[in-house]
Amino acid sequence: MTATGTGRAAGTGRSAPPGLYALMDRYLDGDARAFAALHAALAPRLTAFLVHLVRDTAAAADLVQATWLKAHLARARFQVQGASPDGAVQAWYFTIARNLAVDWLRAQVRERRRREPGDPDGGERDPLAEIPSDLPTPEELEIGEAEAQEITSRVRDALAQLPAGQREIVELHKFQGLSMAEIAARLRIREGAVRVRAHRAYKALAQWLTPSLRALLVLLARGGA
Amino acid sequence: MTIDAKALIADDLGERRRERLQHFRPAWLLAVAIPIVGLVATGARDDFWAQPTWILVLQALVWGLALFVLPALGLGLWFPGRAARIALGLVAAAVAFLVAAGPALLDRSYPTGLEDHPIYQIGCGALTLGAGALVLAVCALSGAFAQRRRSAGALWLAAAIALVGIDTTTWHCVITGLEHTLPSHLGAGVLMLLVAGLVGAALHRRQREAA
Repeated sequence: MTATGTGRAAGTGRSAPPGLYALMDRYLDGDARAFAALHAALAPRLTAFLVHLVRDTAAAADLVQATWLKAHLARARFQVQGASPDGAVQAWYFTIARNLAVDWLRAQVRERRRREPGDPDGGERDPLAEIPSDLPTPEELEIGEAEAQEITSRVRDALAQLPAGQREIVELHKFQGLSMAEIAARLRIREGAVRVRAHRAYKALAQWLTPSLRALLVLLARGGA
Repeated sequence: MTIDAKALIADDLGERRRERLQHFRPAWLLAVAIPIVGLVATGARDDFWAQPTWILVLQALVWGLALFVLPALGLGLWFPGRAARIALGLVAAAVAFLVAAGPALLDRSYPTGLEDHPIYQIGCGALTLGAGALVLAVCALSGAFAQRRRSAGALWLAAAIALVGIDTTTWHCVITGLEHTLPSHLGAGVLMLLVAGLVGAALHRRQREAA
């Protein structure tokens, strides 16, 4: 990730504290005391920012921790491209925090829909509506969810067209996560036969779902959700 | 999730610090061994303990800079501010000069009459460069020059290497005249600094790019 150094962190509406870049520079060189000072300077701002985004104090606290860890693991890629090095440092951390918040909110929306499939709003406020404008809107996420459901439905229809012997193997392999050897043991057939049937099944699915091969990939990635 | 990212990151930075130290440990051991082996093999200069106290203190200060302070800066184990770094650089240059030229400039009680003898000129120059070159070689092989993000770190290590050479020679050579010490002690040390700096900067660039 590259911080763009505009002098103001994205979505924070606050100017960066002076001296952040000097601390970041020393932290990147391995100075633990500089990191502690950077942490002290930014942690309250990050916490307030994330509480504002996710409206959940406990979740925000976890996301703050995740933000620091993610930034630490990616610190070699930090670079200043703008006129304000201090702002670039703040933007770097707040961009990571915002991305983590969006991921968390998306997971919350998915979880709510899973629990209450008939209630698109989940009966509560939609936290995604309060994310800054350059992030996916609830409508975009709604479209994404609808598209995913349609894809899932299409793949399930395609699965239903498979011969029973092939469908059973696909379900055991992708939905239950069994290995080919485990499937062979369960069905009491040779592993080679399982592999041949699986190959034919996936080939047929790919043909039926073409051009939307992505659908199959989505289904496989979801583990048959 | 209940984690303390600050503590985890501090631990990780501490681990990196220990790794950096490991990269310099072979060179450090060699830098300590060189004067000890030299003293055991040939003995110290005859007038070693007869030198004025301030010269002995300066020589000890050079060892302190060469073995602890400058490597800590060069490896990224210590992060003083800009003013402190400049001051340390100036102090290192001043004590190197005073160790080499101080006795002639400030204490003329030890003339030897051997100041312009070419054998001693070459011998001391070779000892200064040889001692430094050994440490430089080990630093290069152990990756010590690539530990800092910027190549300036290599210069601090190069300065430490040059001081090792200068102090090693000073502990063996009784000749204090400027005609001898400026070219064969200080001059060879400056040459060592330049060579080690160039080698270190080149290795820094190559090893960081490879990483």
